[in-house]
Amino acid sequence: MEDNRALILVHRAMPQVETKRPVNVMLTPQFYTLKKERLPIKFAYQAKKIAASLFEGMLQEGRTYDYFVFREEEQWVFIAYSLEEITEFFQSKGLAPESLSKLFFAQQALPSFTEPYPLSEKEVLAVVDDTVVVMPRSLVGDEALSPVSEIPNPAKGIAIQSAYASVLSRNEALGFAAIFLLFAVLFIAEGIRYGGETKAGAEELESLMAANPSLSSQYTRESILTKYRKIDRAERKKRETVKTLIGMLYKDVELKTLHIDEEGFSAEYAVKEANMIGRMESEAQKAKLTVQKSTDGIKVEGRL
Amino acid sequence: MNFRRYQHELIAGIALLVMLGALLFKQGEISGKEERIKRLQSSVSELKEVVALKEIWGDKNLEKRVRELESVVPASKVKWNQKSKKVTASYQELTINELNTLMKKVLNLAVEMQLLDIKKEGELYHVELRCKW
Repeated sequence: MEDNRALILVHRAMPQVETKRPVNVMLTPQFYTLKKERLPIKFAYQAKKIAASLFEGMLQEGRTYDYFVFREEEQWVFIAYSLEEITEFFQSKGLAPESLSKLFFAQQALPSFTEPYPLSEKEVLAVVDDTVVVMPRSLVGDEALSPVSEIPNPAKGIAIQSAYASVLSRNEALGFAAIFLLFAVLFIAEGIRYGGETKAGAEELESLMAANPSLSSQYTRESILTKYRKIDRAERKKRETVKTLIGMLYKDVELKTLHIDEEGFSAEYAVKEANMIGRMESEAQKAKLTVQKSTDGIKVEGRL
Repeated sequence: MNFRRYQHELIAGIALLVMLGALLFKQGEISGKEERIKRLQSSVSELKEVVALKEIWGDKNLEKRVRELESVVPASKVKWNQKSKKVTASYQELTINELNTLMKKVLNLAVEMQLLDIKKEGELYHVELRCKW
């Protein structure tokens, strides 16, 4: 499909440009470095791969260069350009990257410049040895100039917006950044709040420590715990056992003996009513006690 | 790499990284808080347990309270033998009420019960008690 967008010829002395619709731009040799080579290469992508090596030592250091390659009869034309430099120049002339459509090079429109093409009061575009160059207007004389006419858009160009690579506009980027930073502030504030919420627990611990200064050492606490936990567990078990054994004293049941020591326990009951024995047995089994029948009742025993 | 070309993305990207960093900080604080709370709770409950155990089993007035076991029944029915923090007591011919009172006292005292032996003879009870604290 033919590109019918207006084409602006870009050169250093050009005036400010105002455009509301996307335009194509054509760079004069002031913005690129050109080299022609006869190489046994068939495809442009192969030529593009070696482009950087061809320009070694020829380009200004400290800038990033991109390369454009096309075939001109038997030769490959290599063009090195700095998108950064070009974009800066465009912006200085009022051309925002987003208002630019395609980028072309004057060398691509070689036939249009066979007659010197006026750029400004002092410069013209002309062809020397099949290469488009900028030369002083005084060298060619006004009578040799071609009339200013529209230059056709070449077939192959560089899509500026994708070359410029920015997916986001400045405002979008700042908008996103503001939202992200706002969230960051919220997260940090929440994080700090969470960090401070353990104060209550710490204060309780401190007050307990203050009330019991002798327990401030972990070693002391562990030693007390080891000593008293064992006693507490054993003694509680003994008392629970005694309560269970006494709890089995129903009507017509009498306690004959009760023995409890460090190892175990036993109790003998005299049961007057025979039907009470069954009830007592089930009660003892529920409490996981061993039950034995005796002459006048039952005996229960167990280990601690 | 020409950073100026990607400056807009860089601005948004750096802000995104700052936000992610802040999110990680918050998550770290949340999980750290849970751990801190658990640790604090465990320390507080451990300390409370130590205080409670010490109050029960290391009671300084325990000896005074143990002496009550001697006076809980008429003196003629008790043989009391105390050596340092060890007591051996022998109760003879206790009525059921005296036995109940004695048992109540013994069970509520924070002493290590080494031996408790109750025998019924007729209508009366004999009790052997050995404890320490």
